[in-house]
Amino acid sequence: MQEGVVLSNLARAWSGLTGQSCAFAPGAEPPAPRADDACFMLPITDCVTGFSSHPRAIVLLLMGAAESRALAAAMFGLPPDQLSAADLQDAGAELCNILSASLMECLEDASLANLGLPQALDLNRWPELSHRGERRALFELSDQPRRLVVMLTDIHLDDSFCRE
Amino acid sequence: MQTANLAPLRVLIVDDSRAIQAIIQRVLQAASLGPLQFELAMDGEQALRLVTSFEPDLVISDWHMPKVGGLEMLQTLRQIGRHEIKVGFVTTETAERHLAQARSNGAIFVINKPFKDEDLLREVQAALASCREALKGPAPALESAEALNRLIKSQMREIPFRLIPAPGQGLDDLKLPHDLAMYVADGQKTPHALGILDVNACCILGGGGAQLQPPPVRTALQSGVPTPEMMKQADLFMRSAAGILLRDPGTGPVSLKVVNLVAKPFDKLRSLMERDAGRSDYRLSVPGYGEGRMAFVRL
Repeated sequence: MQEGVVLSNLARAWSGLTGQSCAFAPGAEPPAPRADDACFMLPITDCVTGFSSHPRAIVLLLMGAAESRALAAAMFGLPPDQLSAADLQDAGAELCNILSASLMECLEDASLANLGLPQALDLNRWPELSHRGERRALFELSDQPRRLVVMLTDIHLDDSFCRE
Repeated sequence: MQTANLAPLRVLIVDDSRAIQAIIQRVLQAASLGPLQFELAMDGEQALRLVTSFEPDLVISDWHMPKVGGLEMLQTLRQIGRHEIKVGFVTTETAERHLAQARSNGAIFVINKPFKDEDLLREVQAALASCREALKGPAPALESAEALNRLIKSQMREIPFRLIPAPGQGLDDLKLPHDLAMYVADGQKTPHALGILDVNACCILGGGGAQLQPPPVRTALQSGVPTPEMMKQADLFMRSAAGILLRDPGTGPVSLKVVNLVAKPFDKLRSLMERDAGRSDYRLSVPGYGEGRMAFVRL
């Protein structure tokens, strides 16, 4: 993986969607979620298995409330006070989708990998999912106080996902 | 861009994210792309349902969507024969093995998310320009409806008539026999155009040219046999029509090479008409006489 390329792609994605310049940096540990954070998950499947419901990796995204609003306001072209909860969720899911495409670079071999569909994740599931499997990458917005963490976990050998 | 006389082009945006739909629509609306009509779909299944009612000129689609994805939607469109609908992708998909499938099904562009406005605009501008070209279609075979109107008026003199455009009329719509004319341009070896009057038009234009009262014209229409006087006048009309055929720049005057009443069309006539290198099709209606059809076909 060329970490520099991934970091620059993540920053380009965020600034392309929000118009805000930013920088990403590798993070150490997944943070504990706050009550007003938003979480999203996107499965990456390996098409060689032939089981599309069998994820090979997952991308997890955690975003602060201010970042959620800024993102949705820019994408929908609306003032933050006119955004609905559904708008915030829609924009967050699409960000998860776009960041996931950049994070595919972090897989050892992405030649057969397929992006799944992003979904909103209940905050309660973040602690468990963010510590499961083999973490391949964890990046966060480095300019505080912005709050955005995205991580890729390889769950190839974690067959508990298959039973979900 | 001049937009005054342009019909709106229809753009169908297919993405399971309303935010991306909003961005694409905003970018296109802010640009000077001429009048556009938008319709939105959340997945390929919904898009395929909308194709029949909305008849999009351009579909801008995501790849990964619930129910029916972008590639499957494109493949279905082609399978149901909708080859004329242009489809481009705005997607996170980058795998060459997938994108090659899209291109082989006729996708005209693939732009990766997040995209720059100018990248999307460049692709959409090119797609819409070719849509507008396609909508224009080939040039007509005649200079104008007004020119034909004047020619018929000079033939019919005081007899009132109505000239009705009949785009898309087929050879079978023209009642046999046909008065078939071939036109050549000065200095050209190949024929320039064909003109066809169906038997009813022969009777009407012939009867009008001879200033006949309605009863003998109606009799000829009913029997399907124009009188020699009618055919003489119909042939004269076809000769004069050479003067209102559209010419290519640099070509000489067009004249009538031959005109004959034919009992059935020659084999290639149908395919020449369907090739549509330029057509002018009309119905001619005269109160008291009846209605006939004519076609001029550029070769």
